[in-house]
Amino acid sequence: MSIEASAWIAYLAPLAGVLIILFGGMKLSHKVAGLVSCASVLISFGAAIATLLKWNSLDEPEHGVASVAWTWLTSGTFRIPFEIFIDPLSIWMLMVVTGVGFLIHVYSLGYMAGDPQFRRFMAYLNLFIFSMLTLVLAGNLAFLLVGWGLVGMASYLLIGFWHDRPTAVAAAKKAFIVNAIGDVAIMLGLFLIFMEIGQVSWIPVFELLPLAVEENSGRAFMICLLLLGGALAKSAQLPLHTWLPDAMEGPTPVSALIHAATMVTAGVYAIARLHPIFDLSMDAQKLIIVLGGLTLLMAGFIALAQTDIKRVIAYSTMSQIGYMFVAAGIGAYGAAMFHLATHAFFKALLFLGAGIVIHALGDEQDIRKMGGLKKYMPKTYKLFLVGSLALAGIFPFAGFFSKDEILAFTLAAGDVYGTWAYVIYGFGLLGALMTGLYGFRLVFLVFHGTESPLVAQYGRGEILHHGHATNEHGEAPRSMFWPVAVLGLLAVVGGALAIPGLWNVPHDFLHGAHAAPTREALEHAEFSTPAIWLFALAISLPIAVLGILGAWMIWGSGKLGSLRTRFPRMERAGQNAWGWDSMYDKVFSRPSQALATSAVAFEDTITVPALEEAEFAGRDAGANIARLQNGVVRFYALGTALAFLAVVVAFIWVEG
Amino acid sequence: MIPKPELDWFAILPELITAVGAMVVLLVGMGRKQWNRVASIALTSATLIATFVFVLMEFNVSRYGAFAGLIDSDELANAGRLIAVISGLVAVGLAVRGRANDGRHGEFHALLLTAVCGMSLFAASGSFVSLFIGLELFSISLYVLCALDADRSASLESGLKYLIIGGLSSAVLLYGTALVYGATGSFDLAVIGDSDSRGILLFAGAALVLGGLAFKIGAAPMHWWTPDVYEGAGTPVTAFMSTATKAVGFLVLARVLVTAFGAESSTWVPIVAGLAVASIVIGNAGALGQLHLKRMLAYSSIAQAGYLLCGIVGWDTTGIPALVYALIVYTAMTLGAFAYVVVLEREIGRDATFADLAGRGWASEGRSIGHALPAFGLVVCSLSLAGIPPTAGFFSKFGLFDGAVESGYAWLAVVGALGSVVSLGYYLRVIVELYMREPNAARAAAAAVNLPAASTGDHRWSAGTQLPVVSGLAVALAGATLLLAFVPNKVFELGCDVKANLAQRGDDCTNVDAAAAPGPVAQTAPAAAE
Repeated sequence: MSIEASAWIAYLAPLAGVLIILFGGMKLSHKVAGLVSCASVLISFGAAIATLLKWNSLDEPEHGVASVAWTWLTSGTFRIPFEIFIDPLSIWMLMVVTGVGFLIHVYSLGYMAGDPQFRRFMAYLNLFIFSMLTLVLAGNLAFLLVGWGLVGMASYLLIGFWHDRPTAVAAAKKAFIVNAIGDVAIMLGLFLIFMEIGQVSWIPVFELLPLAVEENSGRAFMICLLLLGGALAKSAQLPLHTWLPDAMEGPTPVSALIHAATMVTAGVYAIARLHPIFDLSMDAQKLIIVLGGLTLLMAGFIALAQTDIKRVIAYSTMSQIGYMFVAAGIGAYGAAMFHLATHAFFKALLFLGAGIVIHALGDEQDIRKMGGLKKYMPKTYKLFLVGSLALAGIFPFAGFFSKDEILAFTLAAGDVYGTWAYVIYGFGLLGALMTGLYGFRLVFLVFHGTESPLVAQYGRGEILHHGHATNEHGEAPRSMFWPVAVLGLLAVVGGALAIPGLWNVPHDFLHGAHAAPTREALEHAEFSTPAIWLFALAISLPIAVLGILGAWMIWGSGKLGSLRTRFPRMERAGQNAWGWDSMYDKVFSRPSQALATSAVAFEDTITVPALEEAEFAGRDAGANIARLQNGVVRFYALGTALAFLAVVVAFIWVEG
Repeated sequence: MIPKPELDWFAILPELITAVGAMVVLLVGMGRKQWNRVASIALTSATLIATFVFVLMEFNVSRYGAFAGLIDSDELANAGRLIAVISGLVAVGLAVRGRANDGRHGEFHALLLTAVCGMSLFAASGSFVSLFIGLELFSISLYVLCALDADRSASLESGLKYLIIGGLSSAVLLYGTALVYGATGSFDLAVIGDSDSRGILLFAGAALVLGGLAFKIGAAPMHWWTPDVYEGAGTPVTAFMSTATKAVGFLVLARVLVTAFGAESSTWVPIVAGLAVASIVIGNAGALGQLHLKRMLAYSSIAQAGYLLCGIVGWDTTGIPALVYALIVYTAMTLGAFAYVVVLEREIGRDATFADLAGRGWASEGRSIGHALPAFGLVVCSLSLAGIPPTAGFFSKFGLFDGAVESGYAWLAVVGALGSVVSLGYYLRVIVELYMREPNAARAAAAAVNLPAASTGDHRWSAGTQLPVVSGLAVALAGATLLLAFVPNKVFELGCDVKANLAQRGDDCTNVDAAAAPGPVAQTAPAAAE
């Protein structure tokens, strides 16, 4: 089996799953549908591993293998082939998406068991995996856009999965609309690229665009800005971040899969994939760094004050993706992809752990109603703790290595971008402190402390789910438990992929012209040495520990007093998510509603009557033509003869 | 002494196969027993499939000037033959009548084969003589096919009207050829094209030839026959007539105009554009007010002829490849729509109106997915006819209008686009009825007042009985309409060959040239293929 074949199998297996469940419909039992769904993603994961092995056994490492299924459209030199592109970057994403995706599929079997719409849910999950693979495997701009749109659609369907809840429907719409803004931006960016060079496939684009567009020109900045718009929306970064917290209305596996591990990292992937384009504009790079830095800090502050367990994790996701954006912005693509993978492990772990808690407590998500769960859920507690330690970046958990590699590169970036980049490093450190704080705020509030009435109810087996007490089979059904355990293991050992001074697997793997692990300028920066990395580790580790200690003082032992009394304004601002929603409401939503109202008035008074007139005219014309068709054959013959005459006259008239 | 012409029998093998098949089927079909009926269906299908296979095998073989210049068998001819054969096969499938036996199976299938034979010859003709013979062969077969349900007056009326007006237009076409012969001294298309004769004789002749062919493709203002004939004829016949005739008609129109009258293109292009406008306006306006599905589809086919004419207007740029693609797409989606009409007529036992569609899109109690899926097929075909992505109809319309724009007829594309907007008024109505209306028997019956019995070719067919082959065809053709959207490029390449045919043995295709030209972009592009 060639590398192309294995990649195509990995790509198409989830689609086969969707089709089987779709056409099987009611004939498939829930069990079979779940099995088909999981099996298709497992096949995909197996094929992804095969692709990885094949890639490593290639004699001559190439830029990448473009595999064209067929040419969809040709017009002159313009060609849109239906193609996938296999290179280290897409294989990396393929592994993360199918691997984490498979674990979450298995988890969903337990989490969604008993839901009457179970089949639909599993089909949507498969559809999402297929869409995400379209995005990461796309071999040209057009199919990147297809994948970009498809994941947006799958995300919309899954956020609004419980469509009888008005809040879920509203959240789905919000996510879709914000993402549509990004979609339009990225589409315009692709059109601009196409206008410049008339090609869509990756390698021609990357080779020709630098020749066609001057470096640091306005055109280059424009293209990057539009592409960045798409990335910001998908990855929920400032200022297009407001949809992500609301998206937590979806079932928890969805939050873990789409809104933590895969889709929200599409923006990071896009920047890494399109980096030869972003290399053309210094201003765009700076913009990415600043936006990423601001997002990571702001989301950290908001996470401190939120009270919904999933929203806290959502803001944490936003913050961590901010780190990835900073890394991608300064050109440390290897570090960004590394953190993307480890984050997928520990964030999915946290979400799924939270899911177990939510499931056990009868869909309660408010952390103020929790507390003391450690006694009843010792295993979940341990796994959640592992996830939080990895998130905070404590040695030797995964986040320690990946986040600190980013911080180390940020230090080195000061050499390239000037001293202001050190401010971003400061942001990163402050963010690390925040991470320790909000991460362990959850741990202490949910699992430690006094037992809340709700938790006591759970302990007595009084919380029912589809007629069974939620603690009947221990902490969680086995299908929900072991994916979490695997993720826990990955969160512990995942960091070993890159150990400073010894090896750096992501960096070496991503080596190749078009999937470069680092931008050239950064590679040669003065500070780009393992020593700097160790130095960064030495600074950030104590800061993370400080964060955890702080969390203990505030929410564990209560020695520092509550946040509310000490920083009431910060608390309130955090609960309002810094007012972005009400600001958007005032600036965009209200004016556009006013515009819509006046448009309706305009339509009622002018457009509709005018259209009615046009419709009557059209119907009259149609009726007249139909009336001419009177069924009398001699009349038809006359009409036809006159038509011939008309053609002859016209011929002679045009000629003369 | 007259030299003995070289007889290249392979050049007319498709015609030979169908002609022999027709004779055999006629003999076999004489009996009225059940096996005669089954045998004539089987033999007809076998003949058509054999023709299909042969044409496909020899697809890229060009045999010009066979039979003393009468036959030009090339990709253009083969494209026409393929469409005619496929339409014929679908018509055979749609006309399968279960166990009812009206004794006309022999005539029906034999005439279908002679019609395919005539179209095939028509598409491969290199001279006005063979062109006229082919035209008459399939026209006369169709006149009889239309009138074949002799116990239904609408069918007789349809056949008679078609005969009279078709006879008129054939005479006009023949007169035009005579004038052209008078001007150039030849019937051979290529010779006419090479002659430098110009003058009123040639122009009048060319005008009459154009008019006669425009009649066959159902373009306005020669459209008078279409609504009545399409409505009255049995639905399988209508389906065959509206696709095969139109497809070969367009291909031959392109061949005659470009090969024989290429030098006069500055004269006929505006006139073709005028015909396109008339067809788009009359077809779309006429279809708006129709209650009857078949009549609506008849007007819609006039409008589609208008869009297809845009491809001829853009013949010197990208119009011809777009036309070939559009003809194939048109065939699939129109046959699909008619297939559902047959499904519906069989179910209700009379001619179908819009009101009969009400609520049929849903699978509910008493209506399995097997009922709902063909209805969805009609939705796909309607959307494709309206030109809405992602159906193939979008890409075909895009290509046609693009050809017109490239050739400097941007205003024509605007007219076409406006016409498409109007067409939504009746195409979307199909969806409204299928999914958003409650089935209302009284309303349907009221709308059906004064409608004749079903024109499926057999009104003895009891209402409510379905044949899987018909609903299967409805679904398969809708599937083909969707699939064609994913392979426009393959068909466009074929269209490039057809365009090269028009210049007779020339090699002239913008797409092929551009792909082969080692331009600055193409030189760096190969890296992508690695």
